[in-house]
Amino acid sequence: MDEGLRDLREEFRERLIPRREFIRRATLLGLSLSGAVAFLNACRDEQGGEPGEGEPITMGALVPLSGITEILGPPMQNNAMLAVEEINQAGGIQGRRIDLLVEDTASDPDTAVEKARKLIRQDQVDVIVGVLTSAERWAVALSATIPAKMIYINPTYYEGGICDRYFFNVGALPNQQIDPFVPWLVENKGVSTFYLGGSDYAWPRGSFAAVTAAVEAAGGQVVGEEYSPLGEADFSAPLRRMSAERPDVIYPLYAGADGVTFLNQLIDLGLQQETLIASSALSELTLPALPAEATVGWVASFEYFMNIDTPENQDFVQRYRQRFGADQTMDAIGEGMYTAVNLYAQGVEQAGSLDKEAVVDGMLAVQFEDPKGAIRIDQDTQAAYLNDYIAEISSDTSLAPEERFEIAETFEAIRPEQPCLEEPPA
Amino acid sequence: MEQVLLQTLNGLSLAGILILVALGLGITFGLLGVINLAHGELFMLGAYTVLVTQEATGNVWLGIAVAPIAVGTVGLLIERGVIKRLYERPFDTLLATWAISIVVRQGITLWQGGGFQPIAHPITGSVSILGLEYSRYRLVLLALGVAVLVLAGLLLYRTRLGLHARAAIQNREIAAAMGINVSRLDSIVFTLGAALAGLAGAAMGPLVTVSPAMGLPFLASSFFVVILGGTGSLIGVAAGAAIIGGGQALISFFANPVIAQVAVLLLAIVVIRIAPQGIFGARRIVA
Repeated sequence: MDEGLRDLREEFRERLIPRREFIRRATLLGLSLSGAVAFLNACRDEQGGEPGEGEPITMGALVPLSGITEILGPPMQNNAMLAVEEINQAGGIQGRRIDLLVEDTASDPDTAVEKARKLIRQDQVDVIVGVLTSAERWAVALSATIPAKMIYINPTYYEGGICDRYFFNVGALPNQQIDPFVPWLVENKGVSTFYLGGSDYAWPRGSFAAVTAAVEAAGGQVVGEEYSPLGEADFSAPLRRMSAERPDVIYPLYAGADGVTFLNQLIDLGLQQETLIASSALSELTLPALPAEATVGWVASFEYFMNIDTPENQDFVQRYRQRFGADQTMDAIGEGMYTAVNLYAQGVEQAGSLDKEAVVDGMLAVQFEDPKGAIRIDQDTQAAYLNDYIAEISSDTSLAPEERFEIAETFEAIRPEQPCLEEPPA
Repeated sequence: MEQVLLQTLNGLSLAGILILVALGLGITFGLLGVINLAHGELFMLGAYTVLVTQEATGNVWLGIAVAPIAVGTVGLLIERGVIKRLYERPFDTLLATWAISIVVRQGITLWQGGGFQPIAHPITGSVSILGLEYSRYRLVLLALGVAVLVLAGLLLYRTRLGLHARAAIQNREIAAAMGINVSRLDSIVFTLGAALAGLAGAAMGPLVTVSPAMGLPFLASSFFVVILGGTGSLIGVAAGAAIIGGGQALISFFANPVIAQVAVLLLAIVVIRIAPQGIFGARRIVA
């Protein structure tokens, strides 16, 4: 380019901001930056809580705070924080306080593995809780926690299959979330044909295998099954095929934001007027984004709803909102983090030490109350016995979205079942 | 055959939106040479304008009308505040607009929360076209895309402003020497591009997920549209949008959505290999 012009510009700029002025500005900027950093550090220290006598326990939480599933991350982080703060305020575990280290997975398996390795090697944590998507979960388990023999507790409902002495699961497995749900739909809603549509990765594929089996066992029929890439903006082709098949039920399992995009385009076509929408992914975080009138009568199945009518849960929701704000909502995955933190704390309490083998045995032995019901761990799968709640969306559109999940049926303490897999289902 | 027709129509409605987003990007990229990585955030701001207007007045259409004005204003501020100082430094512009995109995204997260937000559907249901059901709102989107394209064409080829803009594309220095106020022109063009992004986001809001990160996938596909069609060409943007939008809809109906995404991007690579300037790319006179 024009060297002459550039020189002229440089000279001009020099004249505009003399050197002394530049140094003054840079110093000011530096000072204000370090002030900001100090302020942020001060904020961070506040969450420490009461120090106990012993060495603190360090817990790593892997949470998606950015990327395609970022809106599901904050409730996960909040629940982990709430559980840790409550434990610390009650004097910690055997005099030890828990230090929580939160890492952002960026909704990405590679980043999740990198962060898990950092927690293991650099921070030398005692336990890892978290991750959202199955892609992240399989990557973290196979490439980070299992090789390092690190205790890892998964909070998210998923397709199942990870088996390891140090891997624990407090999210629903298909036999706890889908197996009760599908026959319930067939029986109570008089439906028989199902169309399944989901994002193209392990969780929808693995879950749809379970849905298909359950539909056939209940005497129904799956008339279509298809997958779209993550981050899809236009669902007209799948919706067109669904509308052509005229199924009784459309069962969507699209991840994160895709789930809302799909349902918005379905509502735009008016498919919900003749078809029942049932899903094991329609949560308190999805519903607020949809037009309220269109969602009346839709059905969802989860191990936790904010609307569960028990004193334990009402009290829990109140504590959560006192801590994070009166309008805050969470889904089953978020609440799963609360369970995961408490499972580890109970395990240490039971073991009486931080010895890893003793803590694992401790977690296998404990039983405790959780907002979603009593928690104990199955010896074979190392997953939690869970309740399954089936909720219908209320026709009362004046209610807050999370209050529209009317619990229609509760299946109590379902034993977890899963096959052990070497790699994620394809 | 009916299905081909219907899917073409579907594809065109997506193309209508892609035209809106890509046109804004095409104008700033093609005319100003600015690679605006905050374009997806301008799209997102359009949707949030509708959301805020809807909360205040209950009217979605009003929101869609206000969005281009609001987002255009934001665009003007970005141009005056940042980009103006960075012309002829494309790499710095890239970094600066990327930074702006993060600031805007996080700002919206702080203000509106990171969650999914609802926009009411202004029209729902379908109409029958040649015996096949077709979404009404998508037809509106298609019409909007075409109308804006025509307006942009008129602006660029039938007005004094358009003449000046085309002159500045061909040779910035000479245009300035001939008395065209290039700096003012830059501001106008960038503002227009931002307004188009805002309009696209507002119109697409009811059909997608409104969240702070919603602009990212549209930014990517718009870049493909602009590169495929050729920079600085309106017909190019239209053709690019039709190929990407239409191709994707057709293939995803007859094969599946995963294959469609791969196939369309492969097609884009092949086209760029054969015609590096894009299909209708103007050969720029490099200063």
